[in-house]
Amino acid sequence: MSNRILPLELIDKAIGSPIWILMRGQTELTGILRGFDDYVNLVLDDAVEYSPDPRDKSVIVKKELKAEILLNGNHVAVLVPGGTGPEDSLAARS
Amino acid sequence: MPSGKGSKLLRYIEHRLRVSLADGRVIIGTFLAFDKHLNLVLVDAEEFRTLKNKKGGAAAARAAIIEERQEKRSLGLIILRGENVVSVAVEGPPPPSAAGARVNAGGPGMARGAGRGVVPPPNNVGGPPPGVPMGGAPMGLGAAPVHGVGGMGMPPPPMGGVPPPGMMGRGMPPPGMGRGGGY
Repeated sequence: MSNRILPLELIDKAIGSPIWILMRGQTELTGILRGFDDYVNLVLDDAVEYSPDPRDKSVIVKKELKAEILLNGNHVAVLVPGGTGPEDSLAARS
Repeated sequence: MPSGKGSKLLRYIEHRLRVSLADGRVIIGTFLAFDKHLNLVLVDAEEFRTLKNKKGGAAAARAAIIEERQEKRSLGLIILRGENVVSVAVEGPPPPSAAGARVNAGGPGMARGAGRGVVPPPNNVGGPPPGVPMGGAPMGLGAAPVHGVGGMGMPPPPMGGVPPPGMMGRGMPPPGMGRGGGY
């Protein structure tokens, strides 16, 4: 079977470790993944949200959500297991 | 388990794919896995976004559109939610450097014994074959497999006096060995 890893299994392996989530649009979050369900609703610890400033979209505002959060899976576009957020990848920008 | 159309995607596993998302992003990565929702797993993924700079007046707008800037980030291993996938296109063949290593790394496992040269009978994995006592002559160490030893589930018949070669000097003769002289 070449299709040996299902995508959701991979998310399951990421439980307990940092994860970086890219939402539809420009919003991104990082946090410790605590759990998820089939809709990819996510529970995150120590979540940090990076969202564009509503007045100036080119400015990204970092907001620490100091709680455990439940993130609706509706707008999740990409999950990066082990990712620590957009700040680390700034160097990779070109 | 994907079926039907899914098997056509299977063909492109390990290829470089270009995936367009609902919000206009494009992600290029090496395709590893998918499921029925079209959730995708990509490695060495890169995200491309074209941001239109609409700052400035109408005059600047023309220049800005030309200067429409493309932003590229490398994301690495990602899971893409199928809901956002608009289109999938094959960008290129499997990257030659990574493909071979990955084939070896994955797969359903290739456990093998550590090379004694003799494969144990299938029913006796994890222990000595019945009829051979613990510490009995290991196969391939000079003691050829003796007919009637191992596999019958009962001790070999008592032999008269001389143990077979290869049993000489072993601390524990198998039960039945050497009993001929005693009785």
